[in-house]
Formats: sequence, C-alpha cells, structure tokens
Amino acid sequence: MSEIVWAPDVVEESVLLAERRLPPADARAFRRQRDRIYRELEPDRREVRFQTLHLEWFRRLRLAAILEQTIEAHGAVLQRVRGCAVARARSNREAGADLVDASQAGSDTDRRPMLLLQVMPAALLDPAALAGWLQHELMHVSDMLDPAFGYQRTLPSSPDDPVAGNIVRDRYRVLWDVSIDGRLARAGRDIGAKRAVRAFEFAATFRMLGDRLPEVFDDWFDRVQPTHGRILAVAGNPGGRPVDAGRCPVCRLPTGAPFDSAAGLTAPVEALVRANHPGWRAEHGLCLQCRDLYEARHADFARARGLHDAGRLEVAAPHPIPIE
Amino acid sequence: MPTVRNWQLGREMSYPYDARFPSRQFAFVFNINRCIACQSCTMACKSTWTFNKGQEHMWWANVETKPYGGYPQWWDARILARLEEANPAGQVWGGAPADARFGPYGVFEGTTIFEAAATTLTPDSARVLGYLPADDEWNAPNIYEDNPVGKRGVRNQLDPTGEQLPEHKTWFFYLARICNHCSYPACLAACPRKAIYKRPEDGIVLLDQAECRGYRKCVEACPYKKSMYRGNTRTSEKCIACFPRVEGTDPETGGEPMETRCMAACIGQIRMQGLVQIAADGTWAEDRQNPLYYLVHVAKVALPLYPQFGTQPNGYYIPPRWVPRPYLRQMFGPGVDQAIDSYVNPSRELLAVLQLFRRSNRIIDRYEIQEGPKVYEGSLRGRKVELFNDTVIAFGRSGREIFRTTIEEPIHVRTNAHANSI
Repeated sequence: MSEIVWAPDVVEESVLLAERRLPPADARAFRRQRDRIYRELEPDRREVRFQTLHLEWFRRLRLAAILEQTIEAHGAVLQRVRGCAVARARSNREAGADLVDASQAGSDTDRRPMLLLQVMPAALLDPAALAGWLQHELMHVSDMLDPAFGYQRTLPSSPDDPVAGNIVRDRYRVLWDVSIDGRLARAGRDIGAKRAVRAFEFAATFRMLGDRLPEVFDDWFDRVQPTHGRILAVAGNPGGRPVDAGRCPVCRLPTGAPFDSAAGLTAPVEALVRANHPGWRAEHGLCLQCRDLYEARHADFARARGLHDAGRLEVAAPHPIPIE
Repeated sequence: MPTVRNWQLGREMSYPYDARFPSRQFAFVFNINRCIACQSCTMACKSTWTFNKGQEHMWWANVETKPYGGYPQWWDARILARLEEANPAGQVWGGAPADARFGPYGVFEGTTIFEAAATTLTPDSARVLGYLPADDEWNAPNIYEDNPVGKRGVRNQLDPTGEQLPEHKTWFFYLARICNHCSYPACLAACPRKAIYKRPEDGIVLLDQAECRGYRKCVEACPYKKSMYRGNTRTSEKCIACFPRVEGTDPETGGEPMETRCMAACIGQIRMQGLVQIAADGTWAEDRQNPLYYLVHVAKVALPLYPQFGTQPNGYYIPPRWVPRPYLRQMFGPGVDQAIDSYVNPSRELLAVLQLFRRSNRIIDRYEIQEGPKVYEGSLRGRKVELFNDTVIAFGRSGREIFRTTIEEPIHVRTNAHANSI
C-alpha cells in the first residue's frame, strides 16, 4: 500500500487543536509562520502555503503516528487495498472505515479497493481512544475483504416495505459490532467496557428474543465466527418465526407478524373497516397498524358525536356508519 | 488586570482593558412570551450575511428551544459548568435590588469569566474562561426543537396538569439570540491581535477581517458562542448588527437609523432594537421616554441574558411567564420574579410601550402616550384590571414621528371588491 493520503482539513483542524497543548515557545513559532501567510493575497497560493505549513506541523507533532502504526499492524488488510485516504468526519456518527471500489477511484491497472477512513480531527489528539476505535473499524474492513466472510454491500430489501430494510440494516450493524468486539476480546485485545456497551445495544435491538436474549448475546460475543449470510439470517428473522405471513387484507402491506384475528374488535369498529373495505370480514384478520387506525378513527367519531350531543360542538362529522 | 464597573452585577470586576464607553449603545429587547420560533430572523440574517462558502455552519442569528436546544449544542450548560468548577457553590447573587441604574438586580457575589480565568487558567491564556466547541456541536442549530421538560424519570408521558400557570410542569420556550454586543466583550478581551473593537458611536462590536489571523481565541472566549471560525478564509466572523442599517445609510429611511434584518423580519413581533444613551460611568443615562430604557430600567420587565458571565450584554429578554423560576433566575438573574409580575399585570404605560414592537423598521428614539378612554374593567387573578385605549406615538432620531398606534388593535373591514380573496 502506498502512503496514507490525509485530507487537508483533517490536518489543519488537528494541528489547530494540538496548538493549544504546545509549549508557549512552539505555539508562538507556529503562529509566526502562520501569520505570515496572511500577507499572501493571491487565494490559490495562500491556500497552498496554509496546507504546506499545516502538514509540516502535523508531521512534527506526530499526529498521524497512532493511525499509521495501527494500520501497519493490520498487514492482511494492507495487502488487499490499493491505498488509504483519511477524510474528515463532522460527527461521531459519520466516523468509520469503508472501502471505495477501484472502479470509482478510476484505476485501470490496480483493481484493489481504497481504504477510506473518516475521523474527527479531535480524535487524533487522543491516541488511546483512537487506537481502540481503529482496531474495531479495521476488523470491519478485514471482514469485508475476506472471501470466507462473503460480504455484500447491498442488503436485501423489499420495494413494498422500505422500513423493513432499515430494520434489517440496524440489526446487521449491531450483530456485526458484537461479533467484532467479541473476536477482539478473544484475541486478547483490550476492549475496555465494550462488552457491557454491546450487550446494551443488543438488548435494545433484539428485545423480541425475550428470555433467550443473554444466551444469544453470549453466543455471538464469545463463540460465533460470523459470515455475512449468518448475520443476515439472524437480522432478517431474529425470532425464527415464519418469514412471510403475507399481506394485510386491509392495507395490502406485507407484514412480518401473523395477522391479528380481529377478535376483540367492537361492532362499530368492524363496521367502520367494512365501510372502507366492503369485501372484508372479521375472519380475514388485519394487521396491528390497521387495527390501531380504525379504533382511533372510531374513537374520534364517537368523541365528536358526544360533544355534539352535549351541545359543545356545532357540527359533528358524519360517521360513515350509524352508532348506537 | 484593570477594574471596571459592571452595573448589571452591581459591583466592580476585573477586565483586561480599561473601561471605555460609547456615546450610544446598540441594545435590544426580545419578548420571549411572543416568540413562535418561525426562524424568520434566522433566515433573514443567513440570507443577508452568511450565505457564502465556508459559512455553512454559521447562524449569527438563531432561535433555540430551551432548555435542551442550543447552538452550538449545550453552549450555556458548558460555560455554566466551567464557572461552577472554578467557583463551586459560589455563583450566587446577594445584596438587595437597587432602585438605581447601578445594581438593579442586587450584587453578584460569584466569579465572572474574566475573574475565573485568573484563578483557573495558565497565565498564557488567562484572559477569559471559555471553551472551543467541537465540529459536531455546530452541526445542528435547531436540535431538540420543541422538546419539553417533563416529569423527572417519566418517559413518553405528559403531566396531566403540566400546562397550568403560574409555572408549567411540562415546558419549553424559544430563545432567540444574536451577538449581545457586550459592553465588556469577551471576544475583544481574548483576541491576541486586537482585531476586535467596539465602535464609539454605537457600541457595535466588530471583528476586523484584515487583522484577524484565525487564532479562534474569540470563539473560545465568547460565553454566548457568537463568534465563529470560517475555515476557507481562516478568519473568525461575527454578527455586525447590520451596521449600515443602524447608521441610517440604507436609502429606505433617508438617513434615519433602521433596525437590523433579524429585527425587521420578526413576524412574531417579539423584537425591538434601539440605541441607548450611555452615561460617563457606563450606566444607561436617564432617558425616560426611550422605550428600551423604560423596559429595562423603569418597568424592569426586560433582563440581560446570563448577566453573571460578566460581559454586560446588551440583549435583554422579557422572560417567559410559564417557565419554572429557578431556571429563569439562572438565565436572567434575580430580577425574574419582578419582571414576570410586571409583565402579567402590566401598568397602563407598559401596555402602551409593548404596542411599539415591530410597527416600523426604524429605530424608535422616544415615545409619547396620549390618554384614551377606558374600554374594559374587570379582574384577573384577583387583581382589578382596567384597560384604556391609549395612543402611543413613536419618534425617530430626527424628532419626526415614525408612527402611532393604539392599545386596542384597529379593526379593518375589507371592502366587498375582493370579498373572496385572502
């Protein structure tokens, strides 16, 4: 792999933040050099001089050291990428590692992907936290490059149900993070309090597992050697329930859960559904969202009628069905 | 470090420079009770001054939902926490409110950001206690919009009696902010290049772009975080109080001072801006018929934002009457109770002065009231209420009348020429 390419704004911001920790003499020296650049009025030349100065101090303050050392320690990853670029992340959420396809980078000869790291400049000033974050992110990259893992960038989605795609992606992310920190811990790396953090995320995402939750988490953290297919299978159907229960006969949207039998619906609510869907019968069932919707609509009509009867509302909206 | 007199704190305080006062001071009053967070002010400013490359994250004027919102995020909580660390349990007010222009809220016995710097920072950066917000703290100017405070420890559930006065249990409010053009600016104090200056004619605080070298000390120092760094020019920038308008050079007014863009755009009519006369000792000179002087020093309904920071800000707020008082006392000082009492039981004169908000874009220099007939008599919360349809007349710097308006809103009847138009 060739040299790491640093985005100028990462370099500049990290140097400006590091300046605050410099001994006064060094800080003054930096400022003397930087202040002189403002005398250059030609914008392009001024920009180049700023970038050169910041890069020089970036090297001098060894702000790249931890990142470069950590990447070099991942020799297997390095052999499979064409190069590494570091760009600025504007928030922790943006920070992460990814692979950019060679075709996107415009290379004809080298088809290997580029490693793209997005970091917040302030992170470069905290070597211990940066090293921990990097080893986690590089494990993601290592999995993506490993044919045995079988990573595929695009997850299956349903054109009828975009929400399902988001849910699967969230679950996929949590499972992958758990398995990575588990593998790092098994390899004897110091992951601090990450087990507890991952357990919390896992519990929040896979609440449907109920009593089995701790057991499944321990399995993923302590034992599982994940593959893309295995993660996807669990993310797509964590509870092992029937995969496709069909479409709701009322709203026609796909539902992952069996239909509610419509038992317990009051007669006016049933009548309200039938007023909108004449062919529908209670035994067809309906999804939970539809059930909520029609119960709420009925409650609205009933409340308006009550206010009207009490003389507090001039006009009550006409209910599509008679209410006793 | 020299000593200066801070009338809002009712005492002297240390400041890196000797006191110098402008003849007039840019000042404003925002009535929080009226703000609906439409962000018209925000966009008026953005579209006038900060629409260029490198200014994407800049909002010189912004409206945030308190208590959780903030731009940059948590700005006030963070500086309050730093002050508390510097002076644990000591950030308190004492003394008695004075019926004078010096110390009207009592005496602040705690530590200002200038005084805290002397005790907590290393000598090299010892001028002002502050902090430099990280990138992500500038990213979401309207974060936590409309998020109310609920019952502690109870999620997703509103208090059934949360909206009952005098203090709501479920509450939030909108805080509109611009640069306060402070009398003792922290940005000016911190600038190692002396690139920031306060204009002697109107007290507007400006940042000389030719002198700035992007040290970001002003960004770090300003407790209100209204100085911002621009990455592509590598200089800092801040609100300029639309000074060409305030100078009266806008052709619209023919030489009369005009209010800023954010003031003029306010459809909620929460804003009034003016130029107040400053006495030789730095207090506001007696100017009984100036509406800002009346609101701040006579009716005492408008209070400075976080006066305890010590910068003597020139932005004043009529506090929201539904918000729990401890929070408001922290934000506006001990004058809150009196201010809210005056606002909810307004005098005949206060009611008239409140009608002056946003009837014109021109700066009001003084007002007069012509008494009108009694139009209502009743009681409110056990107090007798009388309403008079007085007429209030606003005059500009030149002495010419700008407008006149009445307590009762005039009723306009549309002619039948356009009966169905909106």
